[in-house]
Amino acid sequence: MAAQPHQLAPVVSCFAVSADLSYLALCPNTSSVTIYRVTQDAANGYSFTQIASLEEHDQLVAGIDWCPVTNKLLTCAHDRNAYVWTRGTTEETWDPVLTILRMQRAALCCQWSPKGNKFAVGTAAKTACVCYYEGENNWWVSKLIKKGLHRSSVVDVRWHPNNMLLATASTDGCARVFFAQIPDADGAASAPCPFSTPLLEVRSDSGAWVHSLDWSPDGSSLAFVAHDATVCVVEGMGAPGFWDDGTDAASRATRVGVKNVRLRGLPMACVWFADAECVVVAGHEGAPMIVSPQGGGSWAAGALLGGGGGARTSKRASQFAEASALFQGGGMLGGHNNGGGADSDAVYVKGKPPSGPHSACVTSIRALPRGKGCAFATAGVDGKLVFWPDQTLAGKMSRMAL
Amino acid sequence: MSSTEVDRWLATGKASEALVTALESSGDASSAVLKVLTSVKKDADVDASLSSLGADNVDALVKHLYAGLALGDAAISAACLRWHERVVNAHGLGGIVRHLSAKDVSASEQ
Repeated sequence: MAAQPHQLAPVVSCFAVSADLSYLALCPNTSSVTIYRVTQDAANGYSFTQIASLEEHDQLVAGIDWCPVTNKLLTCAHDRNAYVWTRGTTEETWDPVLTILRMQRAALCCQWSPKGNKFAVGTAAKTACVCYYEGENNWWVSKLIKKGLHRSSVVDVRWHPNNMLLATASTDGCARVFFAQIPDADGAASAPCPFSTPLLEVRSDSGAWVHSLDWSPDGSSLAFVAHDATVCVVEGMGAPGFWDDGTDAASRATRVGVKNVRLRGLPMACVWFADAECVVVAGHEGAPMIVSPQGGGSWAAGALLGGGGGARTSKRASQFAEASALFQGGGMLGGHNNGGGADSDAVYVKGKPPSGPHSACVTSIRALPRGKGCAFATAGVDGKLVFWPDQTLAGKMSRMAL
Repeated sequence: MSSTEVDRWLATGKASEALVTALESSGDASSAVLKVLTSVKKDADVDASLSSLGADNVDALVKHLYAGLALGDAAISAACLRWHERVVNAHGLGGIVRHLSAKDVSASEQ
């Protein structure tokens, strides 16, 4: 089974899938969110039927997340608002609940915590906030990560599997981890440190923007992708007591292993830490690739998946043909992570569209529930939603429980 | 001094070693690197020295290429452009991306 592309919109800004892959929500680069019912049949793969359009936001919806525990939908937008949507009596009705974010700038990303009792929103106001539900007023209230801890926009947020730590990716070139336990929401009597205590800060290889990050399934490693075409895996955070031993962030930073992988080609924009031995990244190359550990502690990137990225010719095209193709082809995409080495005939040809399922930058990647035949889905600026079959990761994961 | 070592490699026609020595020399490597870039005449030598270049050296070379292009000298720019095309063919766009997105840019490269 090959990767299946589906063109659901001209551009997909962000998307999320329900826990059992029966529904999909995406933003088609507008202020609305479209919900589809997903059906799968053996012959034709996946098909999508639009069932609802959520219109509450006024500006571009930048983040969508579907809570696997509570089945609530979370959306955040450039209009500085976030809404929590609860499914009504039918699958077409979704009721929004207001969240008081208290943000001065656009919301850029959001994610439910693993238990679904909190969610985090990253904003262009150089901070992130964590929201929890307040029953008396039927709204979600926010606690802000202290100002000054980020020096620029927070473009991605990721909860640690323990529901208490929040990692943020920022355009100031750093990935950080904060303590994000809220007594009112988490019901804990005491906490080892106050909310928003910075616990770790890791700078990207050249200080370039960090686009996205993801925790490993057991929470002992963190992978992030940066605009200098590197993938960084921070390891060694799994020991019990690592986070609440009372030491400060600087000392903790000396005790983690930071492994940078420099890519041959264009930067990656999204990342999924599939399992301890498999990090899937995708981005400006227009195709995903797998980064996996080599013996001896280092990590290395594999080839682009799906036959993806750039066309290659074994003859040198004339310079005029290359130049005119550059303008006709609409920009060079992909292929630069392959070629050279064994493929030494490969010549860098500009302006040809990539041969994989995507034809532009991939901006988001989502894990799909196990047992459905597809391991993950990617979507991007070309508006295509591509479902990648399980075989894409076969042999790369340490355990594939199907 | 490392510049004489580079000269020695160039005199004996060993382009790869000259390039690596120039890139890894301490202090201001730019003049040594530019000397190698302008001295190596044969395409085959250029490709051979690039194919064996380590990843860190590739990134350093790309930075020197852009510094050379910024000088505005016609002969140096011609050599830099020639090497630039080869570097991209051999090693992809990653070095360029890292040069453009690096935060610690020295004043001369602005």
